Amino acid sequence: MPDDPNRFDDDFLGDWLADFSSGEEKASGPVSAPWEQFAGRYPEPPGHEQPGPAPWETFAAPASAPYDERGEGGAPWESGTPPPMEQLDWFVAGGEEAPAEPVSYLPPAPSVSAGAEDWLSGFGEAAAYSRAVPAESGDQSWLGAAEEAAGPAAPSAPAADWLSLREEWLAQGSLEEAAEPPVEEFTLPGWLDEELPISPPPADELPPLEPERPEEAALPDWLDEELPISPPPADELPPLEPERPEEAALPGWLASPEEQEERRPSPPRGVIRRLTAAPPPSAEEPEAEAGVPEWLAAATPPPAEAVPAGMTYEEWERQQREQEAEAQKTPEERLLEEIPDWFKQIEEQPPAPPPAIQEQGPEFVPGWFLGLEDKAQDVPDWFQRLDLTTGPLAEVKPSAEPEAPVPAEPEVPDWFRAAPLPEGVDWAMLGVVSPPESAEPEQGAVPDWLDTSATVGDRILPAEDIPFPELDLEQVPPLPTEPAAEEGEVEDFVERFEPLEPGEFDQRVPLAADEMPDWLRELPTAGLEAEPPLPAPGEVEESWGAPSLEAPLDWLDVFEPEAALPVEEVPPLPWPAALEPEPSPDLDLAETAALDSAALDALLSAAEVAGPVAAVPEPAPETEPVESLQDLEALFAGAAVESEVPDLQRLFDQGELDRVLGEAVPPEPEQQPAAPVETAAPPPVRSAQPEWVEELRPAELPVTVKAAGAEAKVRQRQVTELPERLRALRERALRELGTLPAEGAEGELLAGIPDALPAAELAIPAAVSPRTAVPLTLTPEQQQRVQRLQAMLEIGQDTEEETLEEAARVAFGEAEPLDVPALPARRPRRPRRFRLDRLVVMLGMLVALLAPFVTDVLHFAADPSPLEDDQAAVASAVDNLQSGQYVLFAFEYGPVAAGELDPLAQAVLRDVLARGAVPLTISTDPAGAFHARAVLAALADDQALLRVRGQGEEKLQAGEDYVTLRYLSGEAVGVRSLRNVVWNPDGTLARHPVFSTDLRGDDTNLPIGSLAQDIALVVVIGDQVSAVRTWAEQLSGLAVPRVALVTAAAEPLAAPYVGQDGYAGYLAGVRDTVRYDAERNSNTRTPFRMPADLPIELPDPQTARWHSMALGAAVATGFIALGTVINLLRVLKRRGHR
Amino acid sequence: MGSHRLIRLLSSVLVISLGLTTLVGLSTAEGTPPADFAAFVLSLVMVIAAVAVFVGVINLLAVHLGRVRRAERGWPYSLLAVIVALGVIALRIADRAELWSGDLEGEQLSERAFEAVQVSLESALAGLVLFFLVYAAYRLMRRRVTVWSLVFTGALLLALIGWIPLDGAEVLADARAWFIRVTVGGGARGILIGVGLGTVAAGVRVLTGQDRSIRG
Repeated sequence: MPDDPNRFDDDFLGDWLADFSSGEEKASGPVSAPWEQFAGRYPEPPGHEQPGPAPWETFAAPASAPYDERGEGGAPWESGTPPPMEQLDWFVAGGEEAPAEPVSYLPPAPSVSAGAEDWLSGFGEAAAYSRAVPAESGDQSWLGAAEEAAGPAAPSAPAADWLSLREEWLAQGSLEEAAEPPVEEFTLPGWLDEELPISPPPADELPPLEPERPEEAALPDWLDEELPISPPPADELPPLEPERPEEAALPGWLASPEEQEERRPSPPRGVIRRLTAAPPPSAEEPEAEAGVPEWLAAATPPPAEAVPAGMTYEEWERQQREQEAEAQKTPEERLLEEIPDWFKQIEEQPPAPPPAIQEQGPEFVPGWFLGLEDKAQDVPDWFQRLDLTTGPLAEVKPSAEPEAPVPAEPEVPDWFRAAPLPEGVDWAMLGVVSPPESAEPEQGAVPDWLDTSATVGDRILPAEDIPFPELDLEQVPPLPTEPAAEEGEVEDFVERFEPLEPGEFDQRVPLAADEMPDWLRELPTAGLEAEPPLPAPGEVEESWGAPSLEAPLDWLDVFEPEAALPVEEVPPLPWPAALEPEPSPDLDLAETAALDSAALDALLSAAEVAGPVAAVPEPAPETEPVESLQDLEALFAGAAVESEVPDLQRLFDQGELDRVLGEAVPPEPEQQPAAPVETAAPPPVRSAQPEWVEELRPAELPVTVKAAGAEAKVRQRQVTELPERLRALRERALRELGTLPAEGAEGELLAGIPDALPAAELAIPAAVSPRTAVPLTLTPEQQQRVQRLQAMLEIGQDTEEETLEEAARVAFGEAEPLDVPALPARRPRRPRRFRLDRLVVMLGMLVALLAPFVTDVLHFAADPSPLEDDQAAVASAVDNLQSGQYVLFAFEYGPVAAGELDPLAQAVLRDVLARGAVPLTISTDPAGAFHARAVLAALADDQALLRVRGQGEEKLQAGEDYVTLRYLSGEAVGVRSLRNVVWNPDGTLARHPVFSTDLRGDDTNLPIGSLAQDIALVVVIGDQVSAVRTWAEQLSGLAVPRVALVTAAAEPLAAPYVGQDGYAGYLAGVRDTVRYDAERNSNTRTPFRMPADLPIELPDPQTARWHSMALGAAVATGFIALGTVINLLRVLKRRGHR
Repeated sequence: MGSHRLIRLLSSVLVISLGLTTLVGLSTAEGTPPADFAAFVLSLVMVIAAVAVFVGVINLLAVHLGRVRRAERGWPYSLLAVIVALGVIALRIADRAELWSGDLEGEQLSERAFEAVQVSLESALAGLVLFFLVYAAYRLMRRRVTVWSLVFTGALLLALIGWIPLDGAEVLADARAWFIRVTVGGGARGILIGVGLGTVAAGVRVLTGQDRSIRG
């Protein structure tokens, strides 16, 4: 759009903006991006780490924007040819879901393609806001608040062209001011258009607004459904000021302060005011507010009212926000967690200009802030914007005279004294005999942020007490449950602090003695001896935990009032007073390695779990200085004493002792009695320490919380949070240290340190030489390991020939060390439990397997079935054999499967031998090759077989009637080698090397040169599928029939290899053995004949075996089924008991 | 260090080259030079494997002799193993030399010893497995009852009942046959396919030099 006066040069845009800018060139048609009209007003891209303000925040017109005063459409883009409502098309998109009732006061807008505001509708859905907002409620405030929330002008716009753009924009706006559309026609700034996923049509292409047809004002889904429609009262509409169009065209965030001052008396108006004409939600309208999204309800602007003179825009806006915060404090506040992240940035505002110092300002600045003005650069940004003119701090009446510090009270914070006694606190370590007793704390002295005893309801302050209502838009959404919600508040508080970077650690200027609170200054001396001061009557009556914002912070009052700063010097604080921390000067709560929310949560939770103060023991009159300081350090980690007192806790936290000592330090179950309390020397200020002491910082940099110029160190783990083992170690070390004579700072090491304590001397033994502090105790297992290590070392030293391997054997028990003392006797094994069911099962199976061999009564099995399918294929292959042909038997099994496969192999061998074929046995398993000879030898003298053969043999001769070939090495390679053929020089086949020698190494004289030509059948007998697979794969494609004899377990895996390129068939297990013998070898097998001298008649063993197998299978089935039923019943019974 | 790297390089080159040539030879027709070369390589491998068996036996004897010499724990068993091994070797030599006479003439005592000791013991141990398996199946669901344990038990009972040769119970036998052929066979084929893929992957790794075992 070259004619766009606000055309922005892409050179000033970032890459991501340039992409948008280039993309708009492609956008054509009726729908175009709104930023095409107002190019150059894109906010700066949010950073990756710290998101920038939301777009509507950067470009949204404030409530009192000057252009609102001039009437409708003050911005130049609202005038001219483009209709003023062109920018609201995102607002009115999704018209098909608009409420049926026309919204009369809503300006219609050209419809935009659906989905242009998906991000908004989706937001409404994601927020799970109900659609129960009655349409007739007429509460439009939340809608206006949505725009109201758009903060002031965007300071993050490109600076290069900003001035020029503003000038152009102002010029155009002034010219177009006269042609402003009616009141209903309003325009949204361009920042809203940036969020549109789908660009609205350009300004010149947008249809004019039609106020008379409000039903066409298509609203987004979430607006249509939740927008309570009610026309704003006419009296709330800001009056128009047509006589000053040029001023109205200038937004407030662009106008100079002088101009803003001039416009300030004018009531805020404009688009936002017109939309937010409805009064803020009140208690009388809970139902109307129930369905309103919380974040929108919170942002509901107050009704337009006269802006008091003398207020800056920021002040006015702040006041508006305070009023909005009141509406924000609804019971549905927990729904804040539904706020999307982008909306949390809505309150990002440019820092307010520092107001002039007023000498007569109220002196409600805390005393601890005095003297810290020069550290303003160290103050966080949020603190620079702190505005104490509102909020509880402003209401604190400065005391005319500072209260004298109570010397008798140990100046621990009141919140600590009032905190209930934690159960896990070792008061002995804290330097007191008994827990402190103070049942009624002084609430005024409790920092609000540590006043964790306040209930959730107490923390919800009235709106006038919430100086910084915008906190709710930034804070972490509260958790659903109440305790979690409270933690969420604390979490939010923690996140507002900026933890020190490692480089920033300890760069703060130590506070002088007069800058510290009295309780901290007098901590070592009077803190432990003095009686706790009686609280003021009024304070005593206050209930514990209730936040008393009215009560002055007495520990802050000790500072001189003349040092307080005026109110105007303090920037506004962007969170409510309920969560506002009352930082104590240099309050080192604890040293920690990192400041995070978890650490502060732990700290705060420790305060929460505190028990009644009455249980706090009385401080003992005699307490060792070290322990007393340790106590204070553990609790408060006072900056004044942390340098002098050796931080044993830190040493323990390092984990080195834990690793070194390991299991050597047994935890002590009971807490040690309280050590006597002794008056400790006053801690020196840190400024009095030598530099080298200052530089002695721990490696783990504690994170310091900086709040309002004060710092607080937070330790991640306190004494009470330590494991029992470490606590026991610490107590033991303290006890041992207590036995040493206490020395002052006269030591050479701590020379120059005022009031140095002998802690360094005491701590070193515990840290450097733990053995002196804790006797090493070894368990018998550890002693055994030590002995073995010693034996290993001795072996290596004494004998040079001993290798490390041998030493390792000795060490790990494979060899007995010579000089190792006898180890303690092993624990006796637990006697085996007698299991009756196991005995029954074993005996039952044994009887079932043996009984058929004794009597034929149990021969209930049917006769073996004839061979079928794959089994019959084996028989067919054997039938094809001719006398004198060679049959190669691969005995690929060992002795383990001999009981199952030997009969099967013999069955086939018998059949083969009966047909005059010559079996050749071979195996890739040495045991199989060796066993094959025994299998064949059992058939050698079978008369039935010899008779069937009909060759007049008395016995089969090895090497002639059968040949046991050698072991075939190489497994698959050896099997593959059977396919090889060797040709003689004369063209004839040479003898195959595999068949040339037998198992004994004798020459076989077998005329076998080729497996394919000279072998009639290959029978693979294996108990593993690998053997079956190897033979099937390596001989694949060879024109030799092959069959497999496998175990029953290998049958499922052998069956897949039955095929054209594999095996012709297979036999599996004893069942097929019996079947094959019964069908094929009935006449070639000599029946078993029992000895004649046996007194009993026994069944045929072959038949008995068949029935034995059948009976055994039946009994095994019965046992398994019985066990299943019993166990199922037990399980059901067990569940029934549950 | 340099020689070691050179050995690695040579071993890798040798293995890859021989593997490729063998692959080519196995893929060509028998009688062709590549096939003959592949056959030669395979024969060489067979010899090396046989030598490896012999080396293994020697190593076994050396280990047990070392244990006896150092009197390590369990050295009596090592001594027994060495004695038996030497006895079998001696027996085998005697068999080969036909030193037996009398009733033992022509006997192969080494084979008898193998059958009488090795085969009998291993067969007996294998037979004991039956009892443990039955008892384990009996207590299968003692601890917990799951769907898969029920499935396992059901399959086991079906296989056992179907195996029992009973008159008039051919249905059970058919069900068992179907069960083994379809369900069990399907699973077995899946396993075998996985084995084949793994073999191919291992071969590819060797041929591409990715297998570290060939680097010496």
